[in-house]
Amino acid sequence: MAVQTRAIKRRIKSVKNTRKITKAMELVAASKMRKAVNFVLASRPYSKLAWSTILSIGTRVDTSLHPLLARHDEVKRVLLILITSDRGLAGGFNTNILRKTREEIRSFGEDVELQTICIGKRGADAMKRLKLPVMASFVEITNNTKFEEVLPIGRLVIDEFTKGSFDKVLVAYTDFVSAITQKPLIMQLLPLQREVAEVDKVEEVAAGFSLRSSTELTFEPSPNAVLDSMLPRLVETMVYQAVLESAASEHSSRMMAMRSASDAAGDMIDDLTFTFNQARQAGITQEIAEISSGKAALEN
Amino acid sequence: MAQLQLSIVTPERIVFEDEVDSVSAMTQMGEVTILPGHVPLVANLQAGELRLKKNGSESYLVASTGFLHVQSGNKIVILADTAERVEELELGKIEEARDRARKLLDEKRHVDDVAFANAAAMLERELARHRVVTKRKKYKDVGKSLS
Repeated sequence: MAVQTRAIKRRIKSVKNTRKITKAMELVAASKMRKAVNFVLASRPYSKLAWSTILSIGTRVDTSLHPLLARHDEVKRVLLILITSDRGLAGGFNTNILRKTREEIRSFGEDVELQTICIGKRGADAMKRLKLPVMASFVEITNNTKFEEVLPIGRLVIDEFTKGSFDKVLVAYTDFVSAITQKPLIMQLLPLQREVAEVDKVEEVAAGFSLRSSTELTFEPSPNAVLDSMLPRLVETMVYQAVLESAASEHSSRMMAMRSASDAAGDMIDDLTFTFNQARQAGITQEIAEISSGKAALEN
Repeated sequence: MAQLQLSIVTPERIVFEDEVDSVSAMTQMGEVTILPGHVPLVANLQAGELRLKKNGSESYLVASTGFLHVQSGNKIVILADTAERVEELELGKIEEARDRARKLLDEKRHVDDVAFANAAAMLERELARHRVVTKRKKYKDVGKSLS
């Protein structure tokens, strides 16, 4: 019996250690999440307004005016920016975004040439496993991201698109809805356009009525000068926002995963303690029975 | 009379969101004043002063480069890289930052084009802040002595 109780005791100890670790990771993730969420919420209004500005410009100027607006009739070459985390143990965070990405890739069909830019180690590894070409990989930037750190990605995308290397640029990222819900999303970054129906919806929200037939937009100093400085800036902002959303999602997803791991460890410890006490009790009972039967044998 | 619905946002925060009677801003073409009923307009902003008028009283902000978007329906969005209310700024800190930017500018002059451009933008921003704060300082001092 002593052997069995000792084994259970050892098991309890190891589960307790695991719980300590998951608890610590939960706390770390929680504090990182708070920070990341603050960043996301602070920059959201900016990127939302920036986006609606793009959309209202995109619908009202000649799209051939600027290469970043021009829609390509044939979508042959697609660039996908995949934003994942650098580390694992974040629950379904990476799995969900990768599943969504794989579905999207499958929907392209055979004749589309795909290139990827990976932000985060996990995504780059997954792309390697899927044998997809990775044009560039950025790691260790998803934590406390600064705008300057994301700039090169935006520049790279803009350069490649302007050169005509791609017909379409997509971003796969995880949208931070709340601490418990995160939504994997695929967003079209370039060309800066949306389906007409969707544009109408945004416009209505933005201005209170449909603007499709409204007057021409005035640009100062000139359409080209404004678009040249505005569009790249807005593309960079969108990439930055996507990275921030992903970071906030990653940390809250990890926090939830670690919390449930700690809870599960607690349950397991309770269970094992119960079994341990039962085994101990059984051992004592057996010893007493042995002693008393030994004594009875001596007396007779 | 119709009012303008103005929001001034930077990547860090919403600086201002309210209804105003008029907005004056520095664009690359010079200063513009937007009144209700303005045609839709998109303009590049330069580092400079933003003047808001509401019910006869004026308030001042400093914005750096960014964009001004006048939408129909009297809605105005200013997307700026940085923007502060004059009351939030302190002259001492600005002068410090300005000197730092000047030094950086000299250091990077023939070394690194990107860093040089950044330093130039920084200096321009600090100069704009300095200009506006010095100009509006009396208002600031009154505010300080009252509070």
